[in-house]
Amino acid sequence: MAKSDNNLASITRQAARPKRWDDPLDPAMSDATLDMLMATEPFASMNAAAFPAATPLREILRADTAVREYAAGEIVLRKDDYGTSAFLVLDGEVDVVLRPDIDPQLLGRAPSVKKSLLGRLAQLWNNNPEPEGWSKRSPRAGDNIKGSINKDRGSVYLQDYPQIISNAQTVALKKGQLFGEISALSRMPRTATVVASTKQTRLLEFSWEGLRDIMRYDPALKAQIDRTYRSNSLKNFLRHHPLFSHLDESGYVRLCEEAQLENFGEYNWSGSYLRLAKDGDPTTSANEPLIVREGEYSNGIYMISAGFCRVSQKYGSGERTLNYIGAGGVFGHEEIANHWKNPQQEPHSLYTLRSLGYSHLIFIPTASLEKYANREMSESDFPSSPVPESMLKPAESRLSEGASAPSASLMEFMAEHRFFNGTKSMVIDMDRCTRCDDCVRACASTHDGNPRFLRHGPMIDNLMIANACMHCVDPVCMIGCPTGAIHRTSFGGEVVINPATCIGCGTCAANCPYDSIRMVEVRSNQGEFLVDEEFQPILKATKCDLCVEQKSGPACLNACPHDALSRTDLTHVTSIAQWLKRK
Amino acid sequence: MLITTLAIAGLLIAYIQYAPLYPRHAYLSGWVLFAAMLFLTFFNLRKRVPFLRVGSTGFWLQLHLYVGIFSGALFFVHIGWSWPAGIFHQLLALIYLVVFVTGVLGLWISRAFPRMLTVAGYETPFERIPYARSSLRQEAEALVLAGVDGQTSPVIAEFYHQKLGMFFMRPSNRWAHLRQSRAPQAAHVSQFDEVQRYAKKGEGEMLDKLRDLVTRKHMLDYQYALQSALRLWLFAHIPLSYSLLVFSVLHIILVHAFSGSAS
Repeated sequence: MAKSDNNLASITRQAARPKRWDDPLDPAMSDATLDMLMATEPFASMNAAAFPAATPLREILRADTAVREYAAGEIVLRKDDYGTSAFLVLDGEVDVVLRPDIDPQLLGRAPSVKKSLLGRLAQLWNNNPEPEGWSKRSPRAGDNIKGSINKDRGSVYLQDYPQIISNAQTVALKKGQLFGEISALSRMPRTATVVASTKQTRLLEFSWEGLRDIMRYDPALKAQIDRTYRSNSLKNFLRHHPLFSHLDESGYVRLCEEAQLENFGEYNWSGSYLRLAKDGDPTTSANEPLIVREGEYSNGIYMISAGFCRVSQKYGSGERTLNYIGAGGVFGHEEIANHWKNPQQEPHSLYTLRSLGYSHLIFIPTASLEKYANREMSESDFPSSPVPESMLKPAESRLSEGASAPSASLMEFMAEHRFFNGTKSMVIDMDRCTRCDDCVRACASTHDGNPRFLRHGPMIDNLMIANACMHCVDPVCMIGCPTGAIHRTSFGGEVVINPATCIGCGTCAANCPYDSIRMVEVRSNQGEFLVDEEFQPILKATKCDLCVEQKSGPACLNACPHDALSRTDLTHVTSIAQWLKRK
Repeated sequence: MLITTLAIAGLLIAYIQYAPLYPRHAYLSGWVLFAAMLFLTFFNLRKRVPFLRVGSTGFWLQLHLYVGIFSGALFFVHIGWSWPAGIFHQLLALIYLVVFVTGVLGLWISRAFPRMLTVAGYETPFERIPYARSSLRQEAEALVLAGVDGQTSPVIAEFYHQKLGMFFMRPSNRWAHLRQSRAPQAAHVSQFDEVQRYAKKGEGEMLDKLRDLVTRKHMLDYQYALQSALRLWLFAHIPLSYSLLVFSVLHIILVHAFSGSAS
């Protein structure tokens, strides 16, 4: 026994077990601040005894909250940003800007300008001779926009704020009011810009984990957030669904009350995905939370509000991926509809549903469906099956029969690498690609001499998914950008970075699960690296912007002489199969 | 392609029918050939402006191919199916033929090699091949050096020094890879089998690792050979195309300067 203990000691090393509280939102949170928070509403009214001993309220506040001070005019949230935090007003006021929206450039967005013909031609001789040259503008964000930078957080505040919002409709939020919680919990973009309107506005920032935990043990807060969610986001979501479009207002209210909200998977899934991918096994069943198992009795339907789910079926001793469905997809209605047509047939689930990364689902129980769903709707209006008919054919015959469905191995590849997130993924047919790099040169020619992607990436058969920004449906890169430099364009929805407001923090690059964002060290026109006062290089985040400034669209696509490159929407499994069939 | 074939057929029929009637037809075919050459050269310029909406580069390549093939027939019509006299004209004709042949060769390479590279696997961007080669060499050297401890047999170290050192150092067997020959791999297999006989029992694992590194190096060399060819043909085709244009302009000046006395 002693010998085996010695052996164990020789191959092990003691370490502190990671704990829930290891990575607090504010490492400097003091006991005095915690005392103040515990005496403040709504925490003062919460029943501390309802929280388990392992996660007491005080420790949740210590780990998952931070008191932030904002100057008047400082932007707290930007419309259309993604974020993981909610805020509670402790002192002062904030303005929620309803309409019209604040000029995007004031919020740190890039101006949406297409280059003129002359401007495009000038790229032939006007590109910077040095890689990542940065002479045209100052690398300091504050020098490029009509605003200033908060040094601590790197956030932007608006100069002359009263003038900016003088004609805008705003709602003031005062002490004790919560905001930003719905988008934090449901992973939706922020619906409005929020700006601090008083001097020394103090806000309590919650991480979404902290908010989730407090909601779990405090019914009042849960009810408040639930009410807000059901009366706004959920009602809008259900109102647009054909199953319920015939309902009147009172019908929607009752349906929203009966619907259940469920979250699966890790909110910031890119981190865990990257860790699992490093270990070589990112998508085993254990890593994908089970939502519905094939063969189980079907109690209702799942409507996907955010994130992605994998639909699979038993095959041998494993599960074969048949489809992945994202926001707007519905699962489980086929079984219920069959049961309606033939009451003798019990509604057992035809497929297994698992969450890929994070997903936010709305569950409508069968009883509610029977009360509120439109059972008379035409076949064409009925939600499409979670699995296209073509995917149910034997894998070998899918393409040969001309069906628009990819092979089983391609489906597994797409799920393993989470490529179904991309709306403009760079897919290269390596049977046609002559490796000439004309696409790379074209990219460089439209980006001041610097290519914004790597013509390399994971491959399956003859397909390569290159390391180029995929302009994701669920852009995890946008979570946590302190200045809002990474954002979606208002017209095409491309995910772009405003170099003028990027402070080089690297949050977006660390979040991107596809390694598509590069941090570059910027240089002067003479090729000298720009460094700060501590001789640390000044960084900027760079990525494919789908040539938003060019009227001709993506240069890489135009430049390929062999029709080997495509910017494909991988959120639909059929699009890649159709592209492959073009030959 | 059908249009090109019909155009070539029409050209040949017109040549047979009307050439005897129009002795100065070479002027017409010459100017059309020069226009075709200008158009063909324009393809390279098109590739430099991917930001202009003037049709996809793929479409321009198709035009480049069809006009290029047509120009071949036109060239023979222009020279009257006989090798020209005089050094200048012979040089001009030779440059045209080299440009044409490298173009056809490039077309074949561009169609055939990508699939071969994909099937072979170990896809590596061309610029990263030297780094990948260096990594393989360092791995192999570390493996062999780790075995040189005075207790193991010197067989593997000698084998590495004599047979594998240079192999890992630089690209190897380029022509064999271009011919799709497996002879170099087969030679290494038999060399490994021979070394296995004299190695100690415990050295088997090291040999297996070394064998794996050699296999990867062959795959890398294959990538290098084919990707080099995919690039190198352009180094002949494009500069010679510009030379051809310059020579053609000189040819036009000479022909028109002396056309009075010629007729």
